[in-house]
Amino acid sequence: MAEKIYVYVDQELGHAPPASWEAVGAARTLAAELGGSVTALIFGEGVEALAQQAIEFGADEVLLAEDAALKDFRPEPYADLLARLAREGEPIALLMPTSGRSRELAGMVAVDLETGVTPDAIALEVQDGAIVATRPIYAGKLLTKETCRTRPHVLTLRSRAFPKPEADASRQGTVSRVEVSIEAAPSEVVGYKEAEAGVSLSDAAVIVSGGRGVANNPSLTPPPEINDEKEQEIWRAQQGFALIRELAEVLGAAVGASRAAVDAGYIPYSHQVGQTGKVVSPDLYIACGISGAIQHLAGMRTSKTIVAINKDPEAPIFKVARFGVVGDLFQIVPALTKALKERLGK
Amino acid sequence: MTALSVGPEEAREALKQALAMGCDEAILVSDPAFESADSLVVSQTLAKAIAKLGEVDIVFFGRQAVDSDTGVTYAQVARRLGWPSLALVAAIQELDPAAGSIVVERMLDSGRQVVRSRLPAVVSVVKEINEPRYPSFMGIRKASRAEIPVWSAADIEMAEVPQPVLAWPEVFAPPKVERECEFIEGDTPEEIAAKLADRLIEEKVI
Repeated sequence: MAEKIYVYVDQELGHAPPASWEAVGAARTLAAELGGSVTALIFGEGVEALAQQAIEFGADEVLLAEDAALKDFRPEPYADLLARLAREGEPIALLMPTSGRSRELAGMVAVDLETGVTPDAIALEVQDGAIVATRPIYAGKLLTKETCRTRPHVLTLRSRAFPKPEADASRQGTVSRVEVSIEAAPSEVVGYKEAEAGVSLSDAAVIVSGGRGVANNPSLTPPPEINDEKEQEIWRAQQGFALIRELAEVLGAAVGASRAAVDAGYIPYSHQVGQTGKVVSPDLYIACGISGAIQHLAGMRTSKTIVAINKDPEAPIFKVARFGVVGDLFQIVPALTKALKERLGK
Repeated sequence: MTALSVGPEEAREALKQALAMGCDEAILVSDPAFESADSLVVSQTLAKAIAKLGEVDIVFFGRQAVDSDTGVTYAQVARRLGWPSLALVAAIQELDPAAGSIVVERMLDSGRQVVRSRLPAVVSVVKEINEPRYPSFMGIRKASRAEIPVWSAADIEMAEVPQPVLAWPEVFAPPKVERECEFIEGDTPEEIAAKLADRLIEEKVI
């Protein structure tokens, strides 16, 4: 029997993150092993352009649902539609990229279909015609392999854990429009706040992160109008993060932070890398003034190359690092920014 | 405010902490039948327990469990109850139980959605929502004396606990990456930075 693999293409404001195409690529691999086809599901308003992209990245078929009521992501109408399409198509698996939204959606659809959901898978294989998914548990200290005895196996795939396929403009596929009838949703989106400009952590190929150490520059004197001790500390940290941002800018990198830095109020939570923040897997991760607590390592240990800059030679971060500098980040980071600027011709 | 947990006897400690921090009552849902529960079973259990509690306006959840890291339970409970799911909430802007409405800011990768929803609703929160308070002395005394009722599967009308659909036959430690850290040294920060930049380029990292 030809199996169908469904992929939910997560998109926001008409833009699909690379992880959506990574999921299409992973579905392509599964389809090859199972002898089946890949169907991409795209929901939104004005998202037709994504359908062609999905085909170029490997989908055989696209189910496109466009409606004004689908413009903003809301879990209930999206889950209703996804569950309906999965019931009609009876795929063996439903893949999605891991994001806050898709975790929610995956959980809901799994309830509707009374099936199992494996969040944040990092590897997929086929054994005896069934899908076996590997995912980290206990903050990445352990891995588990999961199988699901009901169909479809709902899976979200960790960003950058699967290769992004090459787009092939000559690939052919069909686009079918899906009829949409949406009941009054229980919630409405009444506003939107853009994140501060910069590279998104989840998709970033390079990340420069700062930890508690960014506030420890003794050579800085806060301006006299700041006399509260905590505010002085935050002011120092902001000067430290300015150095990190400059390095990030040269590398086209996103700015990350440890939980300690976020808890201390140095930088907003949206920058937090770790078990309770974002889980990232860039090609290059530069950790500045981060000791490497287990909760931070959980969020970045799968990065391809890790560079650690820390005063303390015993810091656990060096155990996962490929390159280490034992030194003062306030001297090393600006010097590195300058050295890279020269070499990269910026 | 009721603190609710599904788990073994040890979960009692977490519930005591919740009482010490100011919850009015706590309930432990515990049954040997839940031992191998997956998220489908846990969400059903929680939904039944919440239904048994009666009039509930909001159910708050954390983002994800620290052991299984699943992060889908809140959404599944919302779905089972038929209540709106408000995920990854960083702030509550308005709350009007009498009018049955709530306005929250939910975190997305690219920013925040401001969402108005009807009540009752299920809300999962991220750490920005607030600073947890410390248990008060009175709270700790109250918690140490509190009786925490235990509801079994039968108590919440789950005569038959479904078998989990997910199996995890293998749990293993990640392969040890033998990664020897190459320490870059030099006499000045400029020299160290230059060496590091050169190594990153040599190794085609950048």
